[in-house]
Amino acid sequence: MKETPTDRRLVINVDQCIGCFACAASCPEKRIAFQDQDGLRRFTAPGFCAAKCDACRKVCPVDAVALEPVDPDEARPDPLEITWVLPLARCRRCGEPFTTEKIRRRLSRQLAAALGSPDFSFDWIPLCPRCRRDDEAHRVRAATRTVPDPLP
Amino acid sequence: MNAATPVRTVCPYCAVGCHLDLLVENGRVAGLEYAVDSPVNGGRLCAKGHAALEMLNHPDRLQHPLQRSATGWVPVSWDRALDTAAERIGKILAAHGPDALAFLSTAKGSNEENYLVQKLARVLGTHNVDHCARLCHASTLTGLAPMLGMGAATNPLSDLGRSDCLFFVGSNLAENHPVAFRWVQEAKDRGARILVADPRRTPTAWIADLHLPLKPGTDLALLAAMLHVIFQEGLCDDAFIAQRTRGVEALRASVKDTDPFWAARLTGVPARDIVRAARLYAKAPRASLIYCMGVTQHVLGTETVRACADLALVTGNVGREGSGLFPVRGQDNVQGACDMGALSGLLPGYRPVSDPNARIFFERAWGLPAGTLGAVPGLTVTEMEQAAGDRVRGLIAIGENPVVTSPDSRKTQENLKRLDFLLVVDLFITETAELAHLVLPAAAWAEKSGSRTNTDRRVQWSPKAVHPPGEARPDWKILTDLAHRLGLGSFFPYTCPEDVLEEIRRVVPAYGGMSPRRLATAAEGIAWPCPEENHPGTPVLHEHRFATEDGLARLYPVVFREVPELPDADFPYCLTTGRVTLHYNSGAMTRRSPSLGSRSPYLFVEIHPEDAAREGIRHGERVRVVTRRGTMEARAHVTGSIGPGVVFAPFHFPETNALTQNVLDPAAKIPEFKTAACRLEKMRGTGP
Amino acid sequence: MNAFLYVDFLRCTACFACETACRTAHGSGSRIHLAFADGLPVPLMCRQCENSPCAAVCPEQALAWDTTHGVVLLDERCTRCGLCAMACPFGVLSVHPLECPNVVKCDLCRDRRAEGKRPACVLTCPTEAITDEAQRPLTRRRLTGMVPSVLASPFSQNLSGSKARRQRNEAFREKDPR
Repeated sequence: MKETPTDRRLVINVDQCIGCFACAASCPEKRIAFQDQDGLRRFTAPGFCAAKCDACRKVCPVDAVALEPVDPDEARPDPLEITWVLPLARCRRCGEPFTTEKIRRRLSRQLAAALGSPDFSFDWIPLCPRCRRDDEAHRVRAATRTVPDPLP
Repeated sequence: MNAATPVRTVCPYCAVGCHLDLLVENGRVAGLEYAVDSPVNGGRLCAKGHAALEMLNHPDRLQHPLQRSATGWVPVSWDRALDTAAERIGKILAAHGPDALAFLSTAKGSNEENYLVQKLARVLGTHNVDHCARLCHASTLTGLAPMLGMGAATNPLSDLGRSDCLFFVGSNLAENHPVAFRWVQEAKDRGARILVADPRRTPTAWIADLHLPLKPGTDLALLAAMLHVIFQEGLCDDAFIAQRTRGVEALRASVKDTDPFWAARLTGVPARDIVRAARLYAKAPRASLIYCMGVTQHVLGTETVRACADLALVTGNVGREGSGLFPVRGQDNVQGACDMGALSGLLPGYRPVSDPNARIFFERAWGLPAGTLGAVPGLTVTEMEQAAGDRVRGLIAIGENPVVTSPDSRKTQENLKRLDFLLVVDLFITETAELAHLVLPAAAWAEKSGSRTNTDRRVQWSPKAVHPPGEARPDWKILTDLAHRLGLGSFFPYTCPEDVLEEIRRVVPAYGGMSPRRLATAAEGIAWPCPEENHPGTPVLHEHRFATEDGLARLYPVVFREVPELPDADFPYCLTTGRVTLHYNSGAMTRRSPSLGSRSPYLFVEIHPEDAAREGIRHGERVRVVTRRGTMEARAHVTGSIGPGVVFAPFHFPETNALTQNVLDPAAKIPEFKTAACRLEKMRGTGP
Repeated sequence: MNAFLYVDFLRCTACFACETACRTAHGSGSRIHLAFADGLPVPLMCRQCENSPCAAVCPEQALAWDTTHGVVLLDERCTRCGLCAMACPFGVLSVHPLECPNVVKCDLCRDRRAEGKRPACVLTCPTEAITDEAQRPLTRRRLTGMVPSVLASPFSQNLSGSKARRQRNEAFREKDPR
């Protein structure tokens, strides 16, 4: 097998990666995939990419994706496929995993810094979107002040 | 700029008759736009209205006539199919006579199509023609028509918005006629009182000032007690009673002892609430009574309808704007199907077959020899289902799905299998079509033009927007072609639905002024009666005179009796059946609908938390529901919106009617769908 | 045209017309969600917060707010990373790139509005529970003395949630006597 000069090795800094969807969504050939199962988000990607684009590297919000050039004379090394895994955070209410632990922590930090004030609580962050909606529904109904219209 | 042409059509689902504009591009419906300027619905459209489009290009749509063979369905040409149908019908006629045939017409078909079904049956020599109104508002026809002269809603739905008190009895308008519910909200915002009598706390009951959660089948007791209070406290409209009704003394006597405490014991509703309801309804300047399946689908359906009408009449709440009696119809054209006489005992225009003048009139109108039309009513839907395979050898079922909708449906299924000839005309291979010898592909609502009548008695024209798929054809064409093959072509000289409408105008006086041209340009249709071309139609009935012979409304006494099958030691719960908003009737359309079916895919049964605890049943578990007729498995929905001792299941799934009882109202022949004694069984292996 | 939708949820009958209409209008997942509190419905959609958490966490500044359009997604900048969806306090924004190429967030039916049409959910709602006019929910309930809740976001009004809440409550403290 002869590699073309444009082959690059895909290198993921697993410590940096927060487990978002950017790289998977960006690949024009849909070669980066992920699956949430058994409390883990498992990513799979090709070990090498012959394409000319830099999409996955550019979109990563934490610069965890690198594309390193490969010496064309090097014997075809492995791995042909790389995988990495991140633990998922479970909803504090219903227990369903809904995002990675790292994303959840990142959000807490970022939102406290950007919008923090004594008026806000961020106690919704550990909840999944469905439970956030149901909680908001309860809050909205409770906030309605109705003047009872008693029957004669 | 949109390249698509919008075509204004009438929604095929319920009897509110909303408009939706179909966007037609290259001969296909590409989408919809809201009919914002329609006076009927102002653009409003419920989830089913949106989903109607999914029927048009559905992959399961029948596109060719299919004949049953040993190896399965074989597509055949229309010629061959029609020849086969004519031949099989002819054989039955020759061997057994015309009463061995039965026709199930469709409340989803147009007025023109229903007119043709009943005409075909009658020209062939039988009154065995009926449709699903038998299962829903037959008791309105038998109960209300003799009282007011007409068994139809007295006011348009929009009048609900002008009412000061809305009393819902066995009607879940919010879920089943969503667009009409905005009138109820308008009334509430104006300060109207909302009273809801329903065993369940339905979305309709969410805004009720008073919810009366009565036990299923005890409405007669509630209404009798309310009448008792009204008479006793002098809350009746004496002037109205004296001038416009007769029979009050017998009514008054019948409710002399039906006091609220007696009713409280029977219904489970506190006596105080019964009194309040009676006072609120009777004292309101303009009150409306809205009733539906909770009233009609009983052995005592006719009598319960009469009690509702009694209540409206003694308080003078009929015949004025904002005051009316609303039997809310279900199907988009069940009102029209009734108007057109697709009923075993009624000729078009509600003329009884027993009336010799009516028979002479139609024999002349149709060119039949004198004496052709029989004087005895034919078989109703429920009787056809019982007689199938026995007295009835051939059944032509058009847009009807009795395997799912008939009470004690397993028996019906067995009976249908014994038919010599079952012809089904439909959009899909429904549960009933699976048993057919011949299936003909039908056009859906947007693929044919015709008029349909909604629950306001409003006749609306819905034009053809696109061609049907494959070789599917509109019912009117299938019926006309079949008639020709049967040698009856001279009676069916129609080239288009407008031709049929012109004949309808001549024989149904209430439709006299409904020319195709007028209907096509009427923004909200025309409400019958509309006897002449320049008559504006009649939105509000009985304003000066009731349609009875003497112009007076007739009051009936109220006599309470228990439902036929009460809970007992073996079957300790009452099973009641009904509808949910995301499905429609037999589910033939909605269960195939991606947007609706996905959100409501499974059969569930609502169980009160106390009952669930007693049976050890948890929310979401599969449970078995058993009656004397059959068993079904469903998912348990444990909810406080139903009372203890009562369980609720939707009938949109084939399993449900295997459990209901085939006991009929003697006059209306409508089944007791709303009550059955059942037990709940926790299924093994579904957790602790 | 206000830059968010008002929901008079006391009018809602949980008919799901809004979700169906939204999916039909956009050809992808519904941007409006029927949530339930004790069996009673509350339709929820993007509140178009002035100072939104979603915009705060977006690594590409692909979410921006303006008076006419509310919170707008600048599609060319968006990488579909999905952080915004996890940052939304109301769970009304979703990103599932493998299932759907779009970010599913209410945009007040921007395409429809460009053609002079009102949002699909507003037009379809059988009981007129959703409106894009500020007055309707308020005037409607005055006669009965019941006060609706408005779905203004606590993330409006520049960082101060309590200020928004106070303003919201004051607006509805006034009601006409019967």
